Amino acid sequence: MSERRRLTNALLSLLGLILGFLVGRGRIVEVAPQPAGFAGLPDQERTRDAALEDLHLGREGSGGFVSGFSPAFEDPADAKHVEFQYADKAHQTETALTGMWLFLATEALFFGGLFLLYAIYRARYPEAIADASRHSELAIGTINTAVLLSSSAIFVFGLGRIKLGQSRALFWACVVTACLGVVFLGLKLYEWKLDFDDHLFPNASFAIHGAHEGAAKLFWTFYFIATGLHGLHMIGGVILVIWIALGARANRYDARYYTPVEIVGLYWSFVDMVWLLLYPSIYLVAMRQ
Amino acid sequence: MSIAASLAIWLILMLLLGLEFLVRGVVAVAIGGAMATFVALTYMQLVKTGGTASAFALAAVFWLMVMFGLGSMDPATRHDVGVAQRTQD
Repeated sequence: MSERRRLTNALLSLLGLILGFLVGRGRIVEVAPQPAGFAGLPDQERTRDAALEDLHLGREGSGGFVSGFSPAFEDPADAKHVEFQYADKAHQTETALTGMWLFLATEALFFGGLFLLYAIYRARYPEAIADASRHSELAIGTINTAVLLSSSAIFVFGLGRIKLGQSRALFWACVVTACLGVVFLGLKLYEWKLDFDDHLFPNASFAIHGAHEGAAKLFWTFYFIATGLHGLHMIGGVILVIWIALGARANRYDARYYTPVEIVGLYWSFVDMVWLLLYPSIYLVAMRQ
Repeated sequence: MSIAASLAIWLILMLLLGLEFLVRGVVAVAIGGAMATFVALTYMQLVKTGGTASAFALAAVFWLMVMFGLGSMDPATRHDVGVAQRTQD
């Protein structure tokens, strides 16, 4: 290809880019009509954010890039809680709940793999797993289960209160829930310390010897991985509950808007559910003697 | 959810925890599963949620069943067959 031809091609490409930009810009201006009664910026300076702000606030006549979405709020107070991409409050709530359930479905499969492995080992080495389980701290595990069940009940109570518009009750419910979560984590850390002191971590100084040593190591590996992962989820849950408490304190939620409280409640109950399966799998394997 | 309802659910769960503690073994795991289901139905209001959210929850149960079915097929059907000792003629 000659030097002249290359130069011509480059100039034509540049011209195409400029024309494309101008045509595109023209179209954007075309589909962004000035809304009725809009007393803001002139057309040329009207920005995307301004158009979206109109839409967000539910101003009539706002069009522009996302015309076709025209939220109709039965109660104008709902408008401040609804993001621009949703038709109305119900649409936003349904989307948020569906998203959370999808996330929980992936979490169920995540923990499911762990439980599958446990079930296979327990079926293959029933006596060894029962022997290994006798070394676990049953009292701490049982207290922790009661603590977690109580925390879920209190959070659900708080959710019920905010549906009646009682923001202060939600705040205190979240404070108690978070405190119980911290108690759970504190007890779990103490239990881990006892387990390490008893040389139950599956390494070279593992305390269980003999014919059941291999299966016992499998059990304690499961124990540390499962309780560790559950603990990480608990830490996340406590942070979320504190976030809800701060929101309740700032009166961010009321009887019309409490979707984040529902979402965090779902997560907290799910973490509770995982523990309800871990508890008998770890502490209650061996029969009473 | 009213105070009475959440208190009743909590009491039922605590009773089940006590029962689980007493029976132990595989039955305890079954009670734990029942408790987890109870939490999903009450605190998480799975039935009331309906729509796509319920479909996701059912999909999770379905895929868990597939995973447990396929994953346990080999351990459940494998038989250890002893190899005959070679005898010296």
